[in-house]
Amino acid sequence: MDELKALLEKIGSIGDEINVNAVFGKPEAVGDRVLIPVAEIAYGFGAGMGTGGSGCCCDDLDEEAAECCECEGECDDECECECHTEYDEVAGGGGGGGGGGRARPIAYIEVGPEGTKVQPIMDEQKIALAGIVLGAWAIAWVGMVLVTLFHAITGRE
Amino acid sequence: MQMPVQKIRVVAGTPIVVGERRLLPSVLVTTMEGGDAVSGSGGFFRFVKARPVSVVVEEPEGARWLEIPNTTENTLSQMAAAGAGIALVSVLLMGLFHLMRKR
Repeated sequence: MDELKALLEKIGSIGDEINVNAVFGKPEAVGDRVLIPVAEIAYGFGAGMGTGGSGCCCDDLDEEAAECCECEGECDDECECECHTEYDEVAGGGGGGGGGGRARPIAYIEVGPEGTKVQPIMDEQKIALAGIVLGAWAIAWVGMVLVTLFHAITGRE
Repeated sequence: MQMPVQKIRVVAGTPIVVGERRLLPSVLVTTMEGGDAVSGSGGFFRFVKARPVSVVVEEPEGARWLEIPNTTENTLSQMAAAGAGIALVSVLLMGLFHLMRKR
């Protein structure tokens, strides 16, 4: 497990170095201008591991199994058990992991004869969806206000 | 199980040379990691987000600092603020109308 963590930490530290330079893309010449794409990037990964049923302490075994075990010393965590049946060295384990990442362009830098400019890139789809939600939200609130106003004028519940 | 640890730092990227200009990019790197990997069982995760912050342009005329705005995020924040404002004004108006009705 420690080895796996060390490996993933190493991958992570390599990722940090790559990140910074991946955010600013390769300059591309377009006519007399040079365009540098700029993106926001994110990635994540995770892993899990588990082991169970090592059966090395008699306390962990059921009565039948415990009878066939010979303990050396106390039955504590460090107890060494010697089992002589199918309960001997019952162990299992598993693990898994996954990861993902994304990159979203947010701007480009334009280097031309007249100077250097940053041109932002807007995610129109996201803005449009948010606009629809905001519109529906506003209509709902205005509707509630009008209903309240109507009740206030007519005096009805 | 350890609590997730978040680290935020600004990292300077490799300078980009375009003709006589030299661009020094800087990136805001947010790292979040957590989990417990010491014991025999457990898990851990790591999340990294890198957002460009600014560019310092070194030109023959001098150095300039250019901010890189996240227009989408800014617009979404403004829309969220507008939504909260609409709700607040509506609640105030409804309260006012309730008072009017009681009188």
